[in-house]
Amino acid sequence: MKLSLNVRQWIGFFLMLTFSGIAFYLVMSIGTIPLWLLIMLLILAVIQATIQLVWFMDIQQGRRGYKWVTISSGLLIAGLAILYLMLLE
Amino acid sequence: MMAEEKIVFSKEFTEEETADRVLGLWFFIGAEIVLFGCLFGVYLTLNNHTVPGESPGELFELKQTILATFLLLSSSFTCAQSFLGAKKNHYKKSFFFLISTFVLGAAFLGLEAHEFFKYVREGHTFTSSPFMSSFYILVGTHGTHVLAGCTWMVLLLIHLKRERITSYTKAKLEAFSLYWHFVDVVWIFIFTVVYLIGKAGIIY
Repeated sequence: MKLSLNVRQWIGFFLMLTFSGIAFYLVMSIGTIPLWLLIMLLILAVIQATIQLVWFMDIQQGRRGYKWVTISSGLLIAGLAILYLMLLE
Repeated sequence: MMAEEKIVFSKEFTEEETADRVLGLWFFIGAEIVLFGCLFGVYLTLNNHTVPGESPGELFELKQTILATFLLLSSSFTCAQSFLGAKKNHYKKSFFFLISTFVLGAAFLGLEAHEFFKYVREGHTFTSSPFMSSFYILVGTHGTHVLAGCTWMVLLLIHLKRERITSYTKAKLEAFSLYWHFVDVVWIFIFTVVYLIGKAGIIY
């Protein structure tokens, strides 16, 4: 059963609020971040970004390839810039 | 006699023209990813270069930031609902949700301006440390994008009010909607990397 776009957006909205709330709660209650929590916070952020990209940022059916090529090329260059800057430090 | 609203006829776009504009905006988003990636890189490089009393842990007030996050996430949802309304030719729904998006975006900007004002008043200015410079540049660039989005929304609201829902206004709303969601995605990472991780600090 495929959910309608409207329902998916409602679900996505509540998921994003929940994940942000969980991340906030974890940081407020645990304090200094161990490695597992750092990874979890980043995973929660990536899930929220993915919800936005898939359920909110739609593109015409025939042009979906362009969307992912644009995002991945942007992320590749951005990732390299972050890596170079951090190595420079 | 009832007052009639004046509807101005706008030009129409073919499906191909709409698709081209959306594709153009995706290329713009690609460039924006690179811009924000570089700013994140600068922030991650410089965030340990602080002066006493000016570390992320001492500065950031997370309760205000989580409120700003909820506002921006809600604005993303209302923006999506506005475009959905336009796709179904529901003028009132589209207009109402776009106004809601504007109000939520403006409230977010207000919170960010309040935060910056507080830091500056306490003496934490752009030049006080490398950390503050990178923080202001990253979060300020995002705030500028929200401001640009709010200005864009005002123009869209005028278009919607005058021309109602046509293929032309739909294409504009679709392009704006992509831009606004992208700004939201960037904020999710600013909230996580700058505020949450910055406030708590990492155990090495």
